[in-house]
Amino acid sequence: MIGKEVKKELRAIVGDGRYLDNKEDLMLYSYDAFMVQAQPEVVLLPITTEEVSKIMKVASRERIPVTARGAGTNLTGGSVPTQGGIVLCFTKMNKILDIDKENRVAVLQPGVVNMEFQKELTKYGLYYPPDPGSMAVTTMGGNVAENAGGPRAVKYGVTKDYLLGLEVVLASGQILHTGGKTIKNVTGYNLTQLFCGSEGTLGLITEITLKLLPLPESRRTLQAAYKNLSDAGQTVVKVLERGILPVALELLDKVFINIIEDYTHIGLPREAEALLLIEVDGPEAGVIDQAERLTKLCREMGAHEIKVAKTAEENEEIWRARRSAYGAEARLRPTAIAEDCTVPVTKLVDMFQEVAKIARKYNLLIPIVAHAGDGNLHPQILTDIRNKEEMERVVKAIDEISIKAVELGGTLTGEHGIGIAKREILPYEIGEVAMEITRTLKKAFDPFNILNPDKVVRIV
Amino acid sequence: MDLQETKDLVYRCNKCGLCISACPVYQQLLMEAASPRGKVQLVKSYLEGGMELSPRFKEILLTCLLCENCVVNCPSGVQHDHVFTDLRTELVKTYGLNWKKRLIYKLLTNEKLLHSTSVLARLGRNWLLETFAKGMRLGNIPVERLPRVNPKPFRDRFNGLVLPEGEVRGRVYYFTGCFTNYFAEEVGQAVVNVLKRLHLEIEIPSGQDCCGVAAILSGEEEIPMKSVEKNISTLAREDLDAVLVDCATCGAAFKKEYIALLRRKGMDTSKAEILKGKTLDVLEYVAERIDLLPFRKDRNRPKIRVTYHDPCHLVRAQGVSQAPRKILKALPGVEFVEMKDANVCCGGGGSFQFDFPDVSKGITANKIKNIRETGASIVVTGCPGCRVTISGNMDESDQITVLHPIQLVDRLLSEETPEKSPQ
Ligand SMILES: Cc1cc2nc3c(=O)[nH]c(=O)nc-3n(C[C@H](O)[C@H](O)[C@H](O)COP(=O)(O)OP(=O)(O)OC[C@H]3O[C@@H](n4cnc5c(N)ncnc54)[C@H](O)[C@@H]3O)c2cc1C
Ligand code: SF4
Ligand code: SF4
Repeated sequence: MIGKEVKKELRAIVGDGRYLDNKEDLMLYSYDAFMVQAQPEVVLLPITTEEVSKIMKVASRERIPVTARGAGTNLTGGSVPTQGGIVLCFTKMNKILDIDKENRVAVLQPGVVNMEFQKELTKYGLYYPPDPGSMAVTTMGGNVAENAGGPRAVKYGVTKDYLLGLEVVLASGQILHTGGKTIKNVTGYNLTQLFCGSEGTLGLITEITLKLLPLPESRRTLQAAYKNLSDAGQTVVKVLERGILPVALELLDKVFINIIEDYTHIGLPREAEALLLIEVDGPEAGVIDQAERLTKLCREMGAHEIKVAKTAEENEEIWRARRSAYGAEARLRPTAIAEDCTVPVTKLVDMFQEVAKIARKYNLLIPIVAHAGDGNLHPQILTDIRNKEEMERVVKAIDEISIKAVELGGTLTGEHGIGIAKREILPYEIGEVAMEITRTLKKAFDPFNILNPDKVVRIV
Repeated sequence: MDLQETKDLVYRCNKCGLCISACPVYQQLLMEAASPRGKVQLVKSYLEGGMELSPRFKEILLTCLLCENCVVNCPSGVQHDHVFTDLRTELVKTYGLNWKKRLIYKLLTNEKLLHSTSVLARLGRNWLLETFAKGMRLGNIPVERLPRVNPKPFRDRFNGLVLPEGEVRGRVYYFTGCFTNYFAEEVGQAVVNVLKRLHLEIEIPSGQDCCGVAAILSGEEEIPMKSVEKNISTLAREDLDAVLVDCATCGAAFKKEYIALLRRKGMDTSKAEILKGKTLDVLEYVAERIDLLPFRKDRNRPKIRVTYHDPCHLVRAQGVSQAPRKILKALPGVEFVEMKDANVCCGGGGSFQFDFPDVSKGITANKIKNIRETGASIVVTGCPGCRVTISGNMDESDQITVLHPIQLVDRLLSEETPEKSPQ
C-alpha cells in the first residue's frame, strides 16, 4: 500500500493532470493485450527524465513496485502491475528529439509511436524497418523493452539491430547513458543491448538513439495462394535457398485468410488453404526482377493463384490487412492467446503439423499466422477465458507447443517476450546456468526487486 | 434496457489496441481513458458489476466525438457507436441531461416553438444562439463568427412544392434539416437550384420536423420520439423517388440512428427501414446525375483549388466517400486536391466542442493545418456542424471559404458569361 503522504509526494512530481488514482483510471491501466489483469495504486504519466528519476527515488526509498508501460499492446502481461504499486506510462513522453540526416541517426523519447516515427522519417528519405503488427500504436520504448520485430525482420532484422544508445533511469533513480551515436562502439560492456528485451525489469528507458537506413526506392508485394499448407511452407525454404532475400515472407492459414477478409473485403482467396505474402524492395528494376523470379518459383511449388500489387496503396492495404489478423480473431472467439514459438525455417512444416496435432488432441481451435521467412509462428489459441474447463486444455496445449518448438531446435518466443505468460517455462529452454546469471543480473540492477517484479524471472 | 447486444460486443474486444491510434481524442490526451479500447473495457467492467456509473465514468464516456473512427479500425468488429450510445442512454437515466442541453434538444424537437423564435430573431442577431453561446461557452468559436440566423425560415419561401422549368423527370422530398432552415438559406437555395436543373419536382413543406439526432446521440430516449415518429410517418413513402438531405447528420439519423433507437426501445422498425431505403444525401443523388448538369465547358477562368472534408456522419455513419469526390472531379474550373487525413473528424462532434473545448481545439487545429497545406481557396463539406467548426476556427488571414459542395455546383452552373481569356 502506498501511503497518503507518499501519494502526495508522487503527485507533486508530475502535477495533477498526469497523476491518476481514481477507480476508473486504475482499471484502465490494469491490462495489456494478454489475458491477465491487475490494478495499480497510482498511474503516473511522466514527460521528462528528471520526473522519472524523482519518481524512482521515491519508489526505491519506499520499495514500491514500478511497472513501465507504453501502449499496453504486449501479449505476455509485461505491462500488467501484478504487484500493484505504480504504473509509469510513457505515452505522453513522445518527442522526436533529433533526426540527423547526415549521420543517419535519430534520437527519440520512449513514448514516440512506431508508425508516427516512420511517417516522419519518410519526409527525410530515411527508413526504420522494424514494423510490429501493432506499429500504429506501440511506443518505441515498448519496442526496445520487448526487442520487437515484424514482418520485415527477414531482410532487416529487429529492434536491436538499430539500437545505438540509450538513456536509462535505474531503480535507484540514477541516470545511465549507454552507447552513442556511432555504428561502431566497443567502449565497455554492451549495456545498450542488455536493456533491449529486458521488459522493464532492469531499468526505465527514457531516451533512445537509433540507426537509420535510406528509404528503399521501390517495393512490391506478391500474394501466392496454395491448396496445401505444406507446399506454402516448402516455398519459404526454397525462396531462401535460391538466394532471394525478400523483405517479408508471411504465411496465413485458411482460418486467417477468411477472418481478415471478413474485416477488410480486399479480395483474399477464401478457398485457399494457405496464403504467402512476399514483399521485395530495392531499385525498381531489381524489384521487378525479383517479383518475376518469385512468381515463377511459387508457381513451381504449387501456388494456384498469384497476384502482384500494382500500386503503393494496394501494397499498403495488404499489409494493413495482415496487421489486423490478431484483432480480427475475436470475430471467432472472445479470448485469443498469441503463441510465438520460432523454429529454423526448414522445420516450419514440421511445426505446422505438430500444432495441428496438438489442436486435435486438446480439441481446440488453433489457426496459424507466421512470419514464415524467419521461422516465427503465431499459432493463435482461440478460446473463451470464461470457460474454465477449456482453459485447462489451453494451458496444456500452450506448454506442448512451446516444448515442441524447442525440441525442433527453436525457441519459446521469437518476439513477444516472456512477461508472465512464459515465465514458468523459461528455464526449460535456457537452463539453470542461464537462469542463475539472469537472477544475478536482475539483483545487480534492481536490488529491491521493484522494477516490474514477477516478470521474466521471479526473485524470491 | 436489454444490454445483451452491448455485452456481446464488448466481449469481442481482445484489447489489441489497433483502434487507439485512429482516435482523434486519444491523439490529444494520450491517456487510456481517452482511447476507444479504454472506453470499451470500462463498459465491460460496468456490465460485469465492477464499476458504477460514477461522475468520472460519465466524463470518460462523454470524452468522445462519436466520430466512429474506432469502429472502422477495429478488426474484431466491436461496434463502438452502438456500445457508446447504449451507455449514454444509461447515463441519461442516472444523471438526466444537463438542463441547457435538455432545453436545446426540446427546442430543436419542437418545430412550432423553433419557428416562432426564429421569426422573432429577424429583428436582430440570433438571440437564441447568442444567449446559449454566452452561457455555454460555444467551444472555441467567437460569438461573432457563429452563423447568422436566416431573415426568415428558408422553407417559408415556398408553398410546399417547387416545380422545375419544362419537363418533369421525377419527384423528390427535400428534407432541409433545421440548420438550412434557420441558418443556411444559401445552402438550401443552392440545393433547390441544382435539383431544378435536374428537372425534379421538389416537395419542401414548411412544417418539417427536426431529425432529432442530437438528442438521440446524447442518450436521450424520450425527447426525440415525437420527431422520430412524425418523420417516419411523413417520409416513409413509396411514391417518392428519394428523400434528399443536405446534412450528413440528418442522413445518418434516417439511415441508421432511428433504427437503432427503435430497436433499443424494442419497437417496430419496418417503416424506419423504408425511410432508410429512400434516404440519400444530396451529394449521392447529384453524383449519380452529374453528367446531366449543363456546365459550361468553355470556361476560361483560372481554376479554383478546392479541397474536401469528410464529415464523420457521411463517411463512416453512411459510408459515403466517393460521391462528393466524383462531383468535385467533374466540375469544370475546379482543381480538386485531397487534404491529409480528410476523413478524420474536425473536432466539432456536436456538443463535444462545448463540453471539452480544449480537446476539441487541438483536433480542429490539425484539420485547419491540413486544409491550409493544400493551398485551396475553398473547402467544401456536407455537414453544417463541420462548416461551423472549421470556419469558426479559421484565422481572418486565411481567405478560405467554407461551403457545402452543392453551393459550388450551383455557382458553377450559374456562371452565365464566360470570361474572355486575357489576350
Ligand atoms: C495486434 C498486435 C500485433 C503485434 N505484432 C507484433 C509483432 O509483429 N512483433 C512484435 O515483436 N510484437 C508484436 N506485438 C506485441 C507488442 O506490440 C510489442 O511487444 C510492443 O513492443 C509493445 O509495445 P508497447 O508500447 O505496447 O509496450 P507495453 O506493452 O506497454 O510494454 C511492453 C513491455 O515493455 C516495458 N516497457 C514499456 N515501456 C518501457 C520503457 N520506456 N522502459 C522500460 N520498459 C518499458 C513494459 O514494462 C512491458 O514489459 C503485437 C501486439 C498486438 C496487440
Ligand atoms: S481495435 Fe477493437 S478489439 Fe482491438 S482494442 Fe480496439 S475495440 Fe478492442
Ligand atoms: S468515436 Fe471517435 S472520438 Fe469516440 S472513441 Fe471512437 S475514435 Fe475516439
